[in-house]
Amino acid sequence: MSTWEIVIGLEVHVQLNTASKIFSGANTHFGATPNSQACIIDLGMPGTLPVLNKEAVKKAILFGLAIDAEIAPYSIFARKNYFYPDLPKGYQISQLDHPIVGKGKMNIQLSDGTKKTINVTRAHLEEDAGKSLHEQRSGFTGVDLNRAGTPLLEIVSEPELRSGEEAVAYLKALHSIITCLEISDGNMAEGSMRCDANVSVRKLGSEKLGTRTEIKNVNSFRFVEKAIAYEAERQIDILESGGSIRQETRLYNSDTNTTHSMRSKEEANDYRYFPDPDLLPIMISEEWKAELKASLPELPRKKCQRFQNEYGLSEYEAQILTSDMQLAHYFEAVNTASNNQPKLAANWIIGNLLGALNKNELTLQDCPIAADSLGQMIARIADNTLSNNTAKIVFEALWKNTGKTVDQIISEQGLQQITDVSALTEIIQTMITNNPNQVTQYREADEAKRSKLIGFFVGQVMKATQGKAPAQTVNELLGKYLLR
Amino acid sequence: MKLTEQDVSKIADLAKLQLDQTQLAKITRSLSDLLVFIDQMTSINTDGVTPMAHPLNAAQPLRHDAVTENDQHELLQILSAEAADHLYWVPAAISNKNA
Repeated sequence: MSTWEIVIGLEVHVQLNTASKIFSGANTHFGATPNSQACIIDLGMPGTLPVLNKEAVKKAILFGLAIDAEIAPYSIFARKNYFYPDLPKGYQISQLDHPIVGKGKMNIQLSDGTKKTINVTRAHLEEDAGKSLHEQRSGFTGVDLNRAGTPLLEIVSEPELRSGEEAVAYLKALHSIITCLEISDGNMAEGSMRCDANVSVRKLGSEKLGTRTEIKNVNSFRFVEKAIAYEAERQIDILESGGSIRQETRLYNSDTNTTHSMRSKEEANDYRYFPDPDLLPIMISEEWKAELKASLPELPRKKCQRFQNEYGLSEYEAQILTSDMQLAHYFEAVNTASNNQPKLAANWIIGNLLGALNKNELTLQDCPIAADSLGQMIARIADNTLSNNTAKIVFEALWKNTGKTVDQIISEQGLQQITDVSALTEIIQTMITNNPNQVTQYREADEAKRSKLIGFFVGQVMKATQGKAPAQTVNELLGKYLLR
Repeated sequence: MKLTEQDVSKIADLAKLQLDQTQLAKITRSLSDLLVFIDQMTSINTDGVTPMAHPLNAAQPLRHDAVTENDQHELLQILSAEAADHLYWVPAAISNKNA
């Protein structure tokens, strides 16, 4: 067993999905032509002044309320000074001493069911920088300032995470809260949610924190886990061979699965913060806070509990279905369309739909099967029109999205189950006559062996009916006629 | 509190300012004088006085979230030393040196 303990704290930047920027009326839409959404305020032109976007403040408060955090009645903006071409003012407007959201709590759950509460130190509002493009022209850096001034909420956790898996669980919990609150689209690939991980190691049982490194800009859940594992291993190797860790920022390279030094932290982090004289303190009234609190939607944890109580789902099923609010909505729509068949709906969504989306690298947004259609298909399973096997054929047809309804597919492909017992009995009796050896074997076998041998007969019936016989009826009839 | 020339040289570096020896000595003196003045202020008893982040006793007005700016990059990029293909171009900034 390892004698080292890994200590991780995460700083997560969440882009708030406002229409305009945090301090200007420029558009925040992702993917626009470079610099078409950077106005004189974003460019830091002399004489311009920032005016704070109410929606950004509101979204920060909603997040704070969702994690039971203190909302500062009085909070201030500070200037964080550094030089970089994609930061035209020479400083970033951020918050230091009086962040808008104070201490809060996040609940996480690991794959083995362990539950843990992670304390959130703070969350503060700030503006994003622009984008630097280093690879297009030799000797030059291209600067696109469209992103400059996009509102960010930086959420800082206490160093209470102990593994890459815990870090990912924390990020997923955070992701489900921000998407549930609809304060961000949480799209990691587009940079709407970015994660920096502070990683250090210490001897098990030691209270003192080791020297940490900061891993920047890891853009997927999977990479967060890998980057942390690599970095912890690297630090342990250095310490075990008698070396020491340098406090520094490191970049993760997903192609090589390694981290490399970016810059030395000691010099660079002298940001000379001071209160921004261009902005007055933000005052948040108790009334506004109460109003926002009353408007909070059902949060993932509560929803997960309700899915178990109301729909009789297992904790595992409820957790998957509430991990993403869109998925939760989809499930509820399928359930309604199926005339309340929550178990079947959960099975088909988790077992078939998510697998198909994953295989085709699609998100739920691009899902070719509408919730209504899947619900109708499930209703047809529930009323015995479809078997599990024929339902798979319908599912595949729906996936191709030809515009046909479930009932059209069933009738065109002749998928309706044979529910006529006398027809089935006839098929079974013919099969018994045609397979005398197997029947004898079955009759002479004990209970345990019989349950294995029955598979052969079920297979024969399914073959004869092209999978259109309801499994339960077939089993009942076989039990009856095989022993006669 | 007194600043050393070393302190000032470091601050100048962070602010991307180049100071010659004469300037360095002069600025070290005047900044130190400023700090003496600040020391004098901090010696005042402020128990029970709420720290002030802004001299105006007012709250930040909040703006309605609406897009009010249109694309003016062509006009704005006239001011730039070099702009092409919608981008501003600056001498290569290698992330491990400049941030």
